[in-house]
Amino acid sequence: AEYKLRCASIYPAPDVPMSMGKALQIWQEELNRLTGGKFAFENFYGATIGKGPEHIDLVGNRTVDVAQTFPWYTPGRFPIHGVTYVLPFGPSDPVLIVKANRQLREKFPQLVEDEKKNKVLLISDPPGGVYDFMSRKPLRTLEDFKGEKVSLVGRYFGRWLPPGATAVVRPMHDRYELLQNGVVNIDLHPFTHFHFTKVYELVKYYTSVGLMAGFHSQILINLEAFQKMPPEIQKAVLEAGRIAEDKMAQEVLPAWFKSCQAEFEKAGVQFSKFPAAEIKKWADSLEDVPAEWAAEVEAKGYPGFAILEFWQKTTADLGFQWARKWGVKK
Amino acid sequence: MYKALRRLVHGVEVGITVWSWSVTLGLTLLIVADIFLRYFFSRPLPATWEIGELCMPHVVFLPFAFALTRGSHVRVAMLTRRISAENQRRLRIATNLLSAALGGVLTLYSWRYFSFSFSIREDMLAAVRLMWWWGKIAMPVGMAIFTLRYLLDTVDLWRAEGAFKDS
Amino acid sequence: MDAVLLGVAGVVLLLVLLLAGMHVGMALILTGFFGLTTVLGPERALEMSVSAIYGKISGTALVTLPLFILVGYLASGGGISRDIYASLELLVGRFRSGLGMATVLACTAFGTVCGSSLVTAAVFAKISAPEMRARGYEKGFAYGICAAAGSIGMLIPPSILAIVYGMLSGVSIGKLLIAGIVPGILWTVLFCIAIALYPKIRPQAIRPPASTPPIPLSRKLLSLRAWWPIGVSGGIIFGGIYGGVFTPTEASAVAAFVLFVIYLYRGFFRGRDRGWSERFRELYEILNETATTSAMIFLVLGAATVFSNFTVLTGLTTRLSDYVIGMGLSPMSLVIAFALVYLLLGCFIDSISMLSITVSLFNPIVNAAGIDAIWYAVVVILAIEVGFITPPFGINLYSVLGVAEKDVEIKDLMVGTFPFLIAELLSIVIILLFPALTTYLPAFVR
Ligand code: NA
Ligand code: NA
Repeated sequence: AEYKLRCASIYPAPDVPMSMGKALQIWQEELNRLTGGKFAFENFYGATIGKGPEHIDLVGNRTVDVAQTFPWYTPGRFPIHGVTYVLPFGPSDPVLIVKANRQLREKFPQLVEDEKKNKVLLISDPPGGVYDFMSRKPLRTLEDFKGEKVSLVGRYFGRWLPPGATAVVRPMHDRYELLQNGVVNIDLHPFTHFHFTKVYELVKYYTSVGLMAGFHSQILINLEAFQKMPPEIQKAVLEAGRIAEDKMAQEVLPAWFKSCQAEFEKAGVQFSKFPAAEIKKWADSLEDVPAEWAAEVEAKGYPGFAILEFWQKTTADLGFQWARKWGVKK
Repeated sequence: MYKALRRLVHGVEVGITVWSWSVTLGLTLLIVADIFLRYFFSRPLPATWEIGELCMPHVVFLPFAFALTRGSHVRVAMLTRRISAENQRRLRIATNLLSAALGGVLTLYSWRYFSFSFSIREDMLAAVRLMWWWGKIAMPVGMAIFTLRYLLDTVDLWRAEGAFKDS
Repeated sequence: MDAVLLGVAGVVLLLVLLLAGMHVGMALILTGFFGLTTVLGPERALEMSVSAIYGKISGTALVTLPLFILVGYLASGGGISRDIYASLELLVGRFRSGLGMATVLACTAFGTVCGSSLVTAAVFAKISAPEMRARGYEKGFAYGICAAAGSIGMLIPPSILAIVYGMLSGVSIGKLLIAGIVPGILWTVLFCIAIALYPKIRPQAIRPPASTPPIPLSRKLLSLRAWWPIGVSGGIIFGGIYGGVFTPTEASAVAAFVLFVIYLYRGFFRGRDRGWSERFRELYEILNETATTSAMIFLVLGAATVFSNFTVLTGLTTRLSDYVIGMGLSPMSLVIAFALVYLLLGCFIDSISMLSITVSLFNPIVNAAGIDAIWYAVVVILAIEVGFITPPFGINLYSVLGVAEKDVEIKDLMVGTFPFLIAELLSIVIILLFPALTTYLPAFVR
């Protein structure tokens, strides 16, 4: 092979069911299809050579050429890369999310600038599942959250819980024990993570809420490695990235959800959708956290409010109905 | 002059060890308080887990040097026990210098690891504002004193010609 | 350079540095760094070494380590463990192997709240081994019991290894946790048998107790008062975990807190026979010991990550796995071969990384061969745990060495753990021959 790329992913190898490592595999296959097999890959899946946040450095200093990780682990280095994580109750259709993300990337060059500052370039932004709940008791109304503890991670999720619910911030690996011992009764994760952490063995109610647009599993390439490639190869790298996004959105994720649902149902899990009217009430009861975020990144020189506005408008134009408007400048 | 340096390094290594176990005790209280508030009042602290992540480097790296002084770091003595005291001394000088060299570069690179994080004010993905560098600073500090301790021990070994006793 | 050659060179260099008397942690980092340099060049190899050590150490999965070490030092420094062993001696002292068996049972009990082998081993090496020594156990044997019995805690739930294995393999975590109970009990039984038999082969392993007049029952019962700190802290921790108040990880902090309070009550405020400066000195010493012992164990753990990254990045691990897969073995030989790979790898890389790499390579083959997934998983976990006490790099050996009295050497531990190594290997044979031991209980889990 003409090009040898070392690739590291924080996700398990693609043969582990519903691993986002699949997206990296698709990208690699497509790249070789487009270039007639010019690439050879050496893969390190499952965060075996570093933890999540370290993957940014691994690819930035070219310990590996390509890394699949999550830039918003370090929000200070990629302040606006996590914009979809800031907006509660976003769209859950992965095809729509991919389209909107591409427009966002075209509209705001600051995204690429931040990547270049960190010596990387994002070549694919494949969507993952949206954030839903699994719980010991059914969740039908906001009342059902009262007095409950919910395990979750991240900066804002805790503030999006309905009134009376308590956030217990804990990493993925702890969720099984938390639910098993009854420290919490509700878990917040995308379906892929519910599947991976096996919490469906313990709690039997799956409630689709779409608390946030799908999570990301972004693929980054070392900037220098990319710039050294001839233009037609660069084009293929990016094109393979787009194909990986489309395939994940159009084929892989829906198929995964179907088999996940079948498997969960076999284990006795009941699926339901949280009523839209309740979501509306819920959204109205929350503070405008996105506006806080926007003000914060504006202070750093980013057009925070414009980004929120653009994302909401773009997704709305593509057919998504927001429960309310977020990111209103005071 | 050398004696003063020795005293200084010892003072620093003890001081940062005290800080280290203070952090351990603080972390214990933090976790217990978190459990208590969560169970009885449904009001857990917002980022105990992330704060724990920042505490661990202080708990771990800072006592490296004092552990060396007290002979806590493990080594394999199967072979070295069998050779003459003078050869033991020479071998110890060699391995100490090797360790000091390694400790030196690790100090430098962990300093860069910290200072980059500090220069960009890198924050954690947590519900409250927490800076990565609060944890990362412990590594170069701990490694630097660790390295110094290796060097001072080597100087002592150097001077102890003919009088080596394994500690 | 060829990955296999590089791997061999790395192991040789490591052995040379260790035998030359370099500290284990520094030798591991240096070797790992040289290995990484061949792939990455010195600059990035150093960057990776730093971030690997930092990443390993800052992980909250390891918060339990310094906290449980603190528990161990508070229990021994405060005289709690001394009083309990004094009571134990009254109760079972006439029976030579009694104290050792009691320690194994205590490790098993501790394993119901702690999911980490090396932590359990270190805690009991601190609180039990010196007491056993004082009562006629050979030093290597006393510490060897703790190094080996510490691993029981990782078999019975809670177990980090079972959870990670379940996530990566798709095997039910609930079933896996339950499946570990019988092997955990099997180890407990086999270790007790080993403790009973070993002195027959090596009489100096336990010195017979001085013949004492029979102890009246009333005195035996009275000695049970010494157990109240264990009763109180055990009750709080056990009740807290199984009552849904906190998780096993958090239990370490609760235990440290409770033991600290008990220590202050028993040893600090009530120690009227000693002056205040002496009491403060003891507490200060306990805290310093906790800090330096944790630092020592963490240096080895962080260093092992650098070495582990080296074997992963050079492709050594994958090469070894591919080689075994390529042999085209029958189902039973396949299980044995994979178990051997885990045993071997366990000598060099940490268990979580090892699983991350191998599970996706091995398990499809295991599944295709129609091998029972739970049974196989238990064999794998057992094999990994055997690696914790195999020389020269068994991590339990080093964590025990870290808390051991000054005159204990790695050589003593190797001798002292030997009977248990045999017992562990025997247990794997038993599990291989009788799969039902692992599959019976999980069948009741839905
Ligand atoms: Na356990
Ligand atoms: Na080993």
